[in-house]
Amino acid sequence: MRYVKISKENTYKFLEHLKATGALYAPQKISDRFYDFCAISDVHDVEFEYDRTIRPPRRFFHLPDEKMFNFDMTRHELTPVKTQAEHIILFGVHSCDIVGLRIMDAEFLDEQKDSYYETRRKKGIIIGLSCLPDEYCFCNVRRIEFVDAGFDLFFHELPDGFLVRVGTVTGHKLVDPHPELFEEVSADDTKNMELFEEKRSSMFSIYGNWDNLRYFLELRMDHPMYDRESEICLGCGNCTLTCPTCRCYDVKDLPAINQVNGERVRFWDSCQFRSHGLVAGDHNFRATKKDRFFNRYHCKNAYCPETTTSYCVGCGRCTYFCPAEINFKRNLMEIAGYRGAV
Amino acid sequence: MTRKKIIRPINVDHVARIEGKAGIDVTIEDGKVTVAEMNIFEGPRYFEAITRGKSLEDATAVFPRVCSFCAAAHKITGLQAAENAIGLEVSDQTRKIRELLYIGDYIESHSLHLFLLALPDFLGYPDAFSMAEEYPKVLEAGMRLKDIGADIQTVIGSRYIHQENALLGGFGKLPSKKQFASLGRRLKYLRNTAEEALETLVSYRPWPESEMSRLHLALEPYDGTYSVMGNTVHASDDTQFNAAAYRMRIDEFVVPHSFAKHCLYN
Amino acid sequence: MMTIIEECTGDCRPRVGVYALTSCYGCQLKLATVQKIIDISNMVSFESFYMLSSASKMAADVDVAFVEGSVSTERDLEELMEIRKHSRILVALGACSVNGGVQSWAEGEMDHDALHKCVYGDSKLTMQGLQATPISKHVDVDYYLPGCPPEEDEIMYFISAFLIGTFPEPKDYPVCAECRLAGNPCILIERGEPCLGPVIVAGCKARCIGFDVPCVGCRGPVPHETAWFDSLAQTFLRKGMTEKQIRQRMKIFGSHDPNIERMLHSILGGETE
Repeated sequence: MRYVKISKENTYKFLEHLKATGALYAPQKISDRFYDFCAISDVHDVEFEYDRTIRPPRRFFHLPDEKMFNFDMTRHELTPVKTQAEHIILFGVHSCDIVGLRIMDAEFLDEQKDSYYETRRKKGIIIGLSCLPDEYCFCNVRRIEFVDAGFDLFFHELPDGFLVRVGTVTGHKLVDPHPELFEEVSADDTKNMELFEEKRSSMFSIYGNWDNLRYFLELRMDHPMYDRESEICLGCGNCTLTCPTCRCYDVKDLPAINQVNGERVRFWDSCQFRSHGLVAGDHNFRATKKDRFFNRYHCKNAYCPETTTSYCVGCGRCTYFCPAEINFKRNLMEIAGYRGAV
Repeated sequence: MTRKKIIRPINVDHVARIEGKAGIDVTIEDGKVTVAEMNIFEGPRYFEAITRGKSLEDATAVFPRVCSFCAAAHKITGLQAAENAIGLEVSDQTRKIRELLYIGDYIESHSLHLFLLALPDFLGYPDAFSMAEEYPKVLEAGMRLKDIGADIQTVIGSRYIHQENALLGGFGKLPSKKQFASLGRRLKYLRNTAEEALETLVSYRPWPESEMSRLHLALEPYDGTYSVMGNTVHASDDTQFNAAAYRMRIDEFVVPHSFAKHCLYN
Repeated sequence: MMTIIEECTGDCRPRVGVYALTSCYGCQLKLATVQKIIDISNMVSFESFYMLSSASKMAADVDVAFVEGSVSTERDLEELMEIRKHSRILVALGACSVNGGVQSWAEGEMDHDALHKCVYGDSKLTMQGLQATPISKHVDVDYYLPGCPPEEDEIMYFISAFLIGTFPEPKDYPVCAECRLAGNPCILIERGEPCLGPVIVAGCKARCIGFDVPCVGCRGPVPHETAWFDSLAQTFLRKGMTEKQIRQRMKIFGSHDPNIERMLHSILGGETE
């Protein structure tokens, strides 16, 4: 792997170059407590120190709401919708979200190819950014706190800039044309990266790993936590819609008023909604709020063979953005009997 | 020789092309109108009662629901009343933007009434759809005026029916300068359309002079401009009073044939 | 389900009636001012639409009737019965028709006599008012199109679906879903605003929260008994709202929800049960 260094000042210049390459999105503060990946017009608006975005990065490749095709009911024809071909550059993606995107890839590229996702994903450029955990983070016990794939560039914070890991050919192509912005990594820089990683490790609220979690979940399906917590649950879907790896969607046909044309759209769904488990004959696989609450705990903690991780990446969004303040991390620890700060 | 009295009742069961539900009963005896009643049978919603004891925030969210055609008026009036009650002064900016919202409502509701509801009567059609082929131009002009009024309300108030973005003390979020500028450009562009459409509308029919004695009330604009907000009520009989004295100067009373009350000015 | 009349001579367009009981007329106004109203009027025949047409009838024989407004008078009730008899499909249009509307705010607090006395005093009227109720308390309703007023895309979706002989799929998820997708910050989490988004049915694309205004609940509770007033009441209590504030706010548009009283009682106590 190639490593280079960039100063903070040059980082802004580099961001300018990125902006010229495609649509640049990076974290911005959108309110007192929340951040989101926003289209960047002024590179100085980019937030380098943010906790988590309210919308996960998957939204750029699997749109929250998209038209799939137009149809003609008299000629029985459908016209595919052309997806845009512009590069989508995500700057400032944390390691949890990078693994989140790899899980999305596993499902939408490897498992069952989704052309809508693929077209956009091929145009995606992912630039990672190091972070410091808060009390909601638990990527470390998910063993993904330091990613080794899934990014084109990864920026590691140094006292005077960033140490950049170049992860792909695309990454090289971004760095190589601008030798004036980058320098070689010095021994001091490496030492500083080591210190940063040390500091970062010491800040997690829990340690060890949760490799056996899914077995405890299977063994304790009747744990009283599910009753207690599902009663507080609002069933609002915030946990799944902010999750970087949830990918359920629903499809709907919208006929036009002329009785001839129409369009098929798809939009994000959530297992927390009643109709998610509803099938023909009014049968519902998850008829109660508790069933739906339970489903997420088991779906998220299943094992993704392609990434060799759990589907939960420990980003903390489902807790941070839960209006009912249901603590996913604490509830999982309760079931598996893990110790540590909540 | 005794002449038999001729009594002719005229009943309009359901007046069409109005907002709300009303009927008209007229009785003519020997060529003279003896009964003329407008029955507002639109059901009562008891706004005065249901908002009692409720929080100002919740109550002012409910008031625009009095009427969809003039929802902004009810919203702003409710807010002003609530602010008066708690002694909350709003900024000039808030007052002016509210006024603009109100004017949007004015433009929209008046265009709707004139071109969509009243015009078919002048031209002898049951509704605006059926006159679309014969009179596309005036109808289109009316619709464009309605649209700009609706859009002013949407940009400022969140939507043109039941605006939610007008709160005690101000707004949730203000429109951008760009949005205001764009509305301004459209309004200037529509000025000729508006004048022309009004001329056309007036020309369709000789307007009868009403000889009935009547009283009009209007608010004196707070800033001396042509406005719709103020605190002093002027009557066409040259009297005036402060809006706060409403209950002293205007007597509301119930008539048995209508859910809407009648008023007397004194 | 609507089948387009197969054998007909002359005007073969589906017949539609738009009626109002007691309401602000906003649902009809919304319907009348959708961008494609002229297209709609070409595709269907409006047999009754008092707000727009003097060629209206109470009640006309129609394939689809849209009824806005609550049942708030004896005459409303008579008209609703007539409308049902003359309509193949009946759609409850808007908050009053679906949920009883804001006029039901005092439900469980003041009965009709008290309401009447408060507004009309001891005066007697020749017409009889009633405690406001949603139309489903009196007749079978085929579809519900919520909103105060309903949204343009949903009106178009309903009419288009009927036109091709299918039925509109109802939404059964809350405003929060659309709010997250819209990228709004959550004002309930962040500022403890009394936002009803978690219990109110989606469709508005979280318009108000986009204006930084908390949801007042105008689209009504999420249907199919998935509006969790009890859970939201707990959240609101934690945010510092009082029992009275919570109860009043949830009941502006939700007082006729079959579960609201039981759920609020379980958390807040008091009132009925």
